[in-house]
Amino acid sequence: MMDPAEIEFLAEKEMVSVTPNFTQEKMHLIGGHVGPLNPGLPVDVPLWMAVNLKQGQKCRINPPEWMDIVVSLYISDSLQDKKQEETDSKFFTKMPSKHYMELTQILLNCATDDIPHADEIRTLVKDIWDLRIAKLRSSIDTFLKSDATHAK
Amino acid sequence: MSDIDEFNDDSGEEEEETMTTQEVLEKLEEAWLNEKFSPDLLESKSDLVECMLEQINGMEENIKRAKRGDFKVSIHRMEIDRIRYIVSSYLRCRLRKIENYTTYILEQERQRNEEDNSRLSPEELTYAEDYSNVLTGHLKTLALRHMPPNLQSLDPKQTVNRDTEGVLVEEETLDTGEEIVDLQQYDQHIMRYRPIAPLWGKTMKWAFTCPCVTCVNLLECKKHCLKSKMSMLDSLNNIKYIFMAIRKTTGFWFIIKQYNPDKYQKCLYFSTVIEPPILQYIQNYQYWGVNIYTTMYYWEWSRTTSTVE
Repeated sequence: MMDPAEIEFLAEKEMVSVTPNFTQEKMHLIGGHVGPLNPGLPVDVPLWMAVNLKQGQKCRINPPEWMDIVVSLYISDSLQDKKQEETDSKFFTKMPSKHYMELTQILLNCATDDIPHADEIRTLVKDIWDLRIAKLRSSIDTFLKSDATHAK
Repeated sequence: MSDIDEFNDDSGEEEEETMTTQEVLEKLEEAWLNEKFSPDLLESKSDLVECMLEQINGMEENIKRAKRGDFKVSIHRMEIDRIRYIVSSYLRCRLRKIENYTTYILEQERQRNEEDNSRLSPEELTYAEDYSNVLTGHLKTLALRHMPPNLQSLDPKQTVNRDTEGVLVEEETLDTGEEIVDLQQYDQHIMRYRPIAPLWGKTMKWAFTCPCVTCVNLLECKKHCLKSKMSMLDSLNNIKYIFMAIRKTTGFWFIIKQYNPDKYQKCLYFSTVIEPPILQYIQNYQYWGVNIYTTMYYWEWSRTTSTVE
């Protein structure tokens, strides 16, 4: 039904923050406006554009707030906290972004230098992913065996 | 480059529902995902599709006109590619469903009221009708015209109803279009005993006399006597066979139907073990039917008899 490429395609619509190193006036795309780009100032662009810019060495990607391992006083939801929450809860917990897995994969692949603690982040996200998949598997298994009409 | 911007703003305002192009795109994406995940053909959103296609065309023209200020051009081109992918994937998904469920969809279309929206766009309707005609024509030339006159029709009314499962094994099944055959086979997979059980009872009276002298009825013949079975098949050489194998997880049901042009006699021959020589024999026969022989599977052969030549 859906292959990984299509899922990535959907994830690429997410906005990420980049810091360009060139100037560009406001662009009117079919899918919306992309604000004026000025060197040194962070701006939100869709992920597909961000990756394209990065590959052309025209910008720096700023990691999203949640993509951080350090438990800081100001950011309450770091990845380690998320992982703890996921382990403790029986159901799925709310993830910082619907496409957290794809974002991590894509950003860590193309912008490793811009994201601090890349390896730890990769491990943490993978752990969270595994936890959720395991929950999904056992839930579906019980659901199918018990003949119920829906499963939470 | 400002041409591009102006164009975009204008077309956004020209929409009847005063939706911005962004909203149209979002709606189209939603329709695309719905279409992908729903097993049924959903309402056709041709207005969204048309709007997007207009946008793409307009944007492409602008790009051609604009000078080679490569950066903006490349970004716009990327976005066009993305939108084009969504549109074509959406339309392709719908076409796939139309091809799979042609008869059903056309039937629904005929029966709908005037007020309800059609689930097919005009082009899709033409496509569905043409496809249906081509398919029936193909089946007719391939198989149906060789069959006895009574059975030369494609019965569109295929129920996958439990009660009529037993009937599905009768002539109608062979005359159906491909997609319907698949449905039936699938259903019989799940409910394999229920249809077969009454069939078994039904067909006892049609059985042949078993060539091996000890038993009355071929169907009851427990002796997997190869020789006798082979001779049975040989003796019916002047009657054409249509074979159909429906797979059951513990064995095979072989349903041999014979069409005697002079008089109809239905015969069902069941074997829960397929002896390879018989399988080979059957496969060598001339037979028609739609994709039937491709579903034959090999199951393990247990040698229970002594006389094997």
